[in-house]
This record gives sequence, C-alpha cells and structure tokens, in this order.
Amino acid sequence: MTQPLLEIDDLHTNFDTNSGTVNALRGVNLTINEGERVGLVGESGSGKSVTAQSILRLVDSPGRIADGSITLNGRDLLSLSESGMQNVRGRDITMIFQDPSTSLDPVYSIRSQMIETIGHNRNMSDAEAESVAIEYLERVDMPNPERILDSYPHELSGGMKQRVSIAMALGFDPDLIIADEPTTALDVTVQKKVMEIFKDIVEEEDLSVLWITHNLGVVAEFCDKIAVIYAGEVVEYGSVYDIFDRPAHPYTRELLQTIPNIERADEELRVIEGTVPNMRDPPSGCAFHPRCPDAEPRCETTRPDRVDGREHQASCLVHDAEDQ
Amino acid sequence: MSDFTHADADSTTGEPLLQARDVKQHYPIKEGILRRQTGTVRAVDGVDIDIYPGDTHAIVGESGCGKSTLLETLLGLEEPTDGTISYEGTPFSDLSGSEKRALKSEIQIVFQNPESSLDPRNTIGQIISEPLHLHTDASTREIDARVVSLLDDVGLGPRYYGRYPHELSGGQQQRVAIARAISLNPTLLFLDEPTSALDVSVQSKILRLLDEIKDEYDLTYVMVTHDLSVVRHFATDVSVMYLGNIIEKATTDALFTDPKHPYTQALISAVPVPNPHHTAENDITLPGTVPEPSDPPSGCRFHPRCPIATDECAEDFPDFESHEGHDVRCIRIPEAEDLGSTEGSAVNASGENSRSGLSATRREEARQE
Ligand SMILES: Nc1ncnc2c1ncn2[C@@H]1O[C@H](COP(=O)(O)OP(=O)(O)O)[C@@H](O)[C@H]1O
Ligand SMILES: Nc1ncnc2c1ncn2[C@@H]1O[C@H](COP(=O)(O)OP(=O)(O)O)[C@@H](O)[C@H]1O
Ligand code: SF4
Ligand code: SF4
Ligand SMILES: [Mg+2]
Ligand SMILES: [Mg+2]
Repeated sequence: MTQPLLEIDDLHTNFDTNSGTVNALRGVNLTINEGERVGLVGESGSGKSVTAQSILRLVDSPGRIADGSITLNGRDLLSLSESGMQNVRGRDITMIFQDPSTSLDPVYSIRSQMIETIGHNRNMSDAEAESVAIEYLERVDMPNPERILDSYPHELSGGMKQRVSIAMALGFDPDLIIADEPTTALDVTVQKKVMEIFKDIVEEEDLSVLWITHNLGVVAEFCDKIAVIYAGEVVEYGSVYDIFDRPAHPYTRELLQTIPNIERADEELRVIEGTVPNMRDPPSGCAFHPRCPDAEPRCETTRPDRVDGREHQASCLVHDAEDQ
Repeated sequence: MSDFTHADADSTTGEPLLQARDVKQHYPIKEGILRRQTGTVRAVDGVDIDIYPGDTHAIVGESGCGKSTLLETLLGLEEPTDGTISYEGTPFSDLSGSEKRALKSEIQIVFQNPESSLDPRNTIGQIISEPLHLHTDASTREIDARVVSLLDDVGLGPRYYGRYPHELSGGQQQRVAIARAISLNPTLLFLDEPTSALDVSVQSKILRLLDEIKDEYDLTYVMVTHDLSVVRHFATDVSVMYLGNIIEKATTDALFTDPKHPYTQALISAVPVPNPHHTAENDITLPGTVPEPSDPPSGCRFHPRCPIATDECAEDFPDFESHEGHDVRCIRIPEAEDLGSTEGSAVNASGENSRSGLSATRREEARQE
C-alpha cells in the first residue's frame, strides 16, 4: 500500500526566454504512493502546471527539465526515449485538464475518440474498446452512454464534457492520474457531483492521483496528502490533517487564513502582504522572506532545507513540522 | 441618508434605496434566414428585490441563472421587458432626462474581468478621470488631483497614473476599476463577480479594500457571485436565484445557518469546506442539470430536481412566504427543514433526470456562443 509509485527528486525546470531564464521549478521533491491522492496547492505561477508537464515530459517550449529525477515504479522517466515516454503517457499516467476541450477533439465524435485512444493504448479491438468506453461512461454517471458516444463535444455541457474526459482517462487503466484544476470551471453543484464520482472510482480501483488546485476546500475533501508549493518549491508536505491542523510553514498558515470559509464567517480574513515573486529573479535565501511575518535576518541569506515530500516537513529555518 | 444597520434590514421601516417589482428581462430567440422569433429566453423572470442603504446585498446562484442580467437591468443599462425599478421611491420610468443622467453617476458597476473593462489604449490616469470629465465641470487640475487621491484610496500610488492596464496585475487592474467606479461618489456600487478571476491571496486584499471603501464612501453594495464562501464573509443580505427567479432571501447569517429552500440547502451543501474534519450534515447532490431558461418547468421552477417535490409542486409557482425571517418560495418548508442525510443519500442515488437530455445541453452550448 505505501509502495512509492512516483518519486520526484530535486526537479529543476527552466524557461529560457528572451528576457532571461525563468526558474519555474527550483528543486521539487514529492513522492506519490500507490493508491494515494496527493493535492498540489499554491497560487498562480507557483509551478503547479509546470510540475505536471515535467512529469509527462511535455513542458511547453522554451522550457526544459534542467536537473533532477522522476521515477515511476522505479523506472527513470527522464532517461526514456520519446517513444518509451509516449507509452507512459496514456498507459501509465493520464492527465485531466481544467478545460475538458483540451482532451476532446471538436471534429470527432466521442465514440471515435474514445475507441481510438482506449483501443490504441490498451491494444484492444474496436468492439472491446467500445465496451470499455460504455462501462466508464456509466461509471461517471452519464445517463445514456450510447447517445453520448454518438455526440460531439460541442453538444455537451461543461460538466458532461468533464465527465467524458474523466471516463476517457480512466478507460486507459492508468496507474496515476494527474488532474490540473479539473473542477475549477464548474459550478459548485456540478463540481460536487464530478468529485463524488471521481472519488468513488479512484477508491474502487485504488488509483493514485495528483490533484492540482488552488482551492483548499477541494483538497480537504478529496486528498490524503497535500504539497504546498511556493515559488517553484514544495514548502510544506504532509497529510491533510497535518496541513490543516498543524501547519508549520508560515506561508501555509497565512494561506489557510486568507481563504473565505463558508463555515467560519466570524473570523476576519487575513491578507498576505506582498505578491508572489517573479521567477526570473526569485528572492535570496528563503523565497518567502519578503512576505513572511516571522522572517529573521538569516532568512534573507540562508536557503532552508527542502522537504523530502514523504512525511510532514516544512522548508523553514524557524518553524519545524515536528514541533507543531 | 438614513443610518441603516444590517440588523434592521429585515424590518420594513426604512425606505429601500433601490427596489424592483416583478422585473423581467426576456430575450427573443431568432432563427433561420428570416430571423423569425422561435422562442424566448426568460433570463430574469419576475424578480422582487429591495436594497436598503448600507446593505451589502449578495445575489447568488449558478451560472446562467440570470445574475448578470438582473444587475444590468437594475443598473438601467437595459430596459426591463416588464416590471418596475425604483430609485429612492421613484420609478425609473418617471425620471426626467436630467434625473436619469444624475442617476447614472449614483449607480456604478465593477465587472469580473478588469482586463476587458479597462480600455487598453488609455493610461490609468485617463481611465479613472474619464467619468469626471464626462459628468463634472471640474478643471483638469482638479480632476488630476482627484485621480491621485483615488489612486491612493485604492492602494495604488500616483506612480500608476501614466501606466497602461497591461502593465498591471489582475488585482491592480481591479483596483483601477474600483477607483473609476467610485470617482463620481456614487451611492450604490454594483459588483459582478469582483474577485472571481483573482488568486486567493489577491482576493482577500480586494475584499478588504471593498470593505474599507464602503465605509469611507458610505456605499451600498449589490454583489453578484457564485462563490458562497465570499458571500458568507462579505454580505449582510443574500438573495438566491434559480432560473431567473429569486427563491429565497434572508440575512447572511440566517441563510447560511438555517437555509430554508431545498435549492439553497443543496447549493450550500455543495461548497467544499477547507476542513478535513468536516462532515456534511445536509449532504444533497442534485439530480440532473439546470433546465433551459427558454423552457422553464411548470409550477415551482425547481420541482424536477427537488428531493421533496410532490405533484402539487408542478402546478403553481409558490409565492414568497415568510418563515422565521426568511422570504421563501416553497410550499413544503417543514419538510425541507428535515432534508437531512437520509433523504440526501436517496437523492445521491438517483441519476440524471429525464428533462436534461442532449438537446437541452446542446441548446445551452449554442446560447453560450
Ligand atoms: N511557456 C512558458 N514560458 C515562460 N515561462 C513560463 C511558461 N510556462 C510557465 N512559465 C512560468 O513558470 C512558472 C510556473 O508556472 P505554472 O506552473 O503554469 O504555474 P501554476 O502554479 O499557476 O500552474 C511561472 O512563473 C510561469 O510564468
Ligand atoms: N443578450 C442576451 N440574449 C440572449 N440571451 C441572453 C442574453 N444575455 C443573457 N442571456 C441568457 O440569459 C440567461 C442568464 O444569463 P446571465 O444573466 O449572464 O446569468 P449569470 O450571470 O447568472 O451567469 C442565460 O441563459 C444567458 O444565456
Ligand atoms: S525561513 Fe524564515 S522567511 Fe522563510 S518561511 Fe521560515 S521564517 Fe519565514
Ligand atoms: S415548492 Fe415543491 S418543488 Fe419547489 S422547492 Fe418547495 S418542495 Fe421543492
Ligand atoms: Mg496552472
Ligand atoms: Mg454573470
């Protein structure tokens, strides 16, 4: 059960742009065990999507993985050939995007897309692939799978399209699903339904999930573990209970108090002063020091140890997760 | 202006600043080369609302329920298809031309996407000063001084005066939109999803700014949003919309601690709570999807998805009734009160309902284009 499935070690991803190098990831460490749902949370620009792209080796140009290692079931993904990596994408790891249109081609029917991708990735005949497609459309609670198969993406609402893209991702029979803000564009009642369906299937099939979001309510409901990412590094890692009950890193604590909570209206919303750093020129020492209420002089010069992404740790010179 | 506090907002003693009675906004659906009208989108379909001075009145509901249309209609941007909107007791339709122009500066609006509401070719200074040039006789010098003080009020220094919108972050752009909106000292400020496009840490800053501005400028807010957590922290009163109609109104505390209408209950129970120990008491997952506003269900608009609907619910659309300070359009409030986890799970089990088919979703998509 606690067998590591995906291990990311000291991952650095850069974008060499005309106006300088963007250090998007600056040493990310993260482990996802089998059957585990890990939430990756942070503000825009903190490196969530680039982490997902790096795992799949699909970093947008002009980005490149500069250093580090990524292993899946002990296999080094960064040294695989491109065709080896193509097999990993789809068979071992699949991705669900915020905008389901990303994974659905507007000119083909849902049937031809699902049969093509499932059949190709699982070496199935069209008939076998179709029955898998129907099975998963049923499992994502689509009312009439046959009719859905005959339809085109534009004929479906946002919530239905997202359920189709989940059915397609599950139809690959992957080990790991990476979901990048999959419910962010949906209304709350639809989000709730999609999350319930997804959670049930993931539990039944013991799948691992990396769920990327800026919504702390969603991670609290969906995830076992949380990695808080800031300025291209995981600044705190732990179980949902560690992060919500015993947050150690000042950024995590501030973040938790800055979000409106429908249950606790009496508490004043706190404001994190300052803004997220420009990753062309991240702050020295601890990248959070210009905004940190607990910063000490040494924080400007000394970079805290990185978390290992396996147990509750915070990347902070002052606060230790063990003391919480 | 009367000194109205939140606690009094329930009582009918004060005079509402803005009042709508049976306001409708219908759009024709035209098809074919002859552009013949083949149907009607009932975007807003008979809304009564009272906005009292000093309120922060939130209008909530899922996308497409008519929130923005209602706001634009209340703003006077669009003539309502039907109904009456009054400002300080005078119907819009009774206002003279000069009174209408004066009202334009009394009610201002801030939109969700500052990027599209700020003209990219103008400097921040030009953007904020435009209403002052249009609606006042102040000299350029007076206006410049005013713009500098507005920039200060919204937390941007004078150094932003000569910059362009694209040089600013989303949060800074929203500050500019707020500065422009308050430049004429309005009485009412409409906010259409003011923080929905912003990051969490930026969102809390803009909410804090809006709170401060409200006190400093003695404003009344009408805020439209789909984010109930923001409403819980920010609003004094809430109206819940479903398919072009308000179905429940109450003070914020009353609405969130004791929602009466089954739809309000479902909406609140769907909000993810940032607390891993949270267990849903009233866990309701609604079957089906929101029907088309061009083809609303008979009777109570919510009946095809309502967990406690009876045959009677399909007959007449219930009128507002008062239940412990809430105004609610539902005939089965005692049953709604018991809508606990048992019934909720029964609802969970039911699938998509028959009304929502492919044709409905296709039309929904077409409308959005
Ligand atoms: N194609 C690109 N070119 C240059 N910089 C990029 C590109 N994609 C991402 N970045 C930068 O990498 C950082 C992380 O971005 P991203 O992972 O997309 O953040 P998020 O957490 O919002 O998903 C940001 O500073 C962003 O500007
Ligand atoms: N100008 C218009 N013409 C036709 N239909 C419209 C127009 N504006 C809005 N609608 C429709 O009216 C309904 C309500 O829209 P809107 O007020 O934007 O909802 P919300 O702001 O709650 O998401 C939707 O079905 C929308 O498609
Ligand atoms: S290392 Fe210093 S600046 Fe960084 S989070 Fe800890 S206390 Fe704050
Ligand atoms: S009137 Fe009937 S259908 Fe409508 S909300 Fe009440 S119980 Fe449900
Ligand atoms: Mg992203
Ligand atoms: Mg809207």
